[in-house]
Amino acid sequence: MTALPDQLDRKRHVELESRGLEVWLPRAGVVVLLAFLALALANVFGQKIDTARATAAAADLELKAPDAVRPGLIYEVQFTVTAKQALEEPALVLDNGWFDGFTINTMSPDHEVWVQRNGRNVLTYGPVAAGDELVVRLQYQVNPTTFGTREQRVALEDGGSPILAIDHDAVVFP
Amino acid sequence: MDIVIRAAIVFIFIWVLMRVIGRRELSSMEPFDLIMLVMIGDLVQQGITQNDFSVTGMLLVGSTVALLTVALSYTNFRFPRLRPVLEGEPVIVVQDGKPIERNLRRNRITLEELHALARGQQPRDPFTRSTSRHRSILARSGIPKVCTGRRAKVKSRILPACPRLTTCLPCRT
Repeated sequence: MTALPDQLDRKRHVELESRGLEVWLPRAGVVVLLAFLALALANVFGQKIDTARATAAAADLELKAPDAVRPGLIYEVQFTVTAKQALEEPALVLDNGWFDGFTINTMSPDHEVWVQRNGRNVLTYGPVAAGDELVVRLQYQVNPTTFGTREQRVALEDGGSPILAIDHDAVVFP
Repeated sequence: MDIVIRAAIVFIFIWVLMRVIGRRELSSMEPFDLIMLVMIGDLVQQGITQNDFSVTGMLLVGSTVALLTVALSYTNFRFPRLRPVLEGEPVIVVQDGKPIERNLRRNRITLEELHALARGQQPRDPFTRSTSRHRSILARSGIPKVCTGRRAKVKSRILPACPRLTTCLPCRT
């Protein structure tokens, strides 16, 4: 039998005794990576756009926004107000979570008034006739240092009177 | 989801690119080649991560590339018939001390380059020894390996120049 080089042992280095873990650990690692990527392909880590809707007698509101995002990503949030009756001063009331740790690149159309009320941002727009739509688009980018969950509730008001609201959370992965 | 798909597409693209460019270019790291590789890396990075600065994004891209590498390696191991496609096959460019010009031309290698490479692997230029049974094989890695027949005394000294067993096997005449 051929002699082995120094410091090598036949049982350990040829017959691979007590080294079963070296086979199974990499396999387990591959399984973990596969599971991780499966979650990513299922959009767990962002940034698939989800749609939420709320209906009331005066208007409907549709929100298109991602539930999960990652720092640096650019995305669009869309609010669609469908007026069932004339809205004189439609206003979107956005939680602080819509702005905390995010950069708003553009906003269209421009609001007529932007005020803060108890830490919430109230964006007031011009009148919307019955049957018409008001589509507000916000172009976002997540700041690189942002992570955690942001409460992003949006409410629709007309002349200060609440019409409806949608509860939405966004998770920012580190 | 999109970052995983982008990483997979880029992985496949780079693999195809490396197969198309050819082994000759990959083995010769001239300054231009080095700059090209760095440039490709930079372009690829932007295509995959775009504006993503996140650790999560990095983990996703790293995992995708790692898994595809394992998958490629396993496919190569499990399905021998696919090996020529996946890795390419060795090409003999020198037989019994004589260069095979057709094979050299096909791989865009000049005789001068071959001599220079051979001198780097052998104590003496093997092509000057007309009685030798040297062969030079353009290995899958793109680097020509100089190998000898069984009778050569220098065999034990030469074999380490062929780190991959599959590369050395055709030398055993």
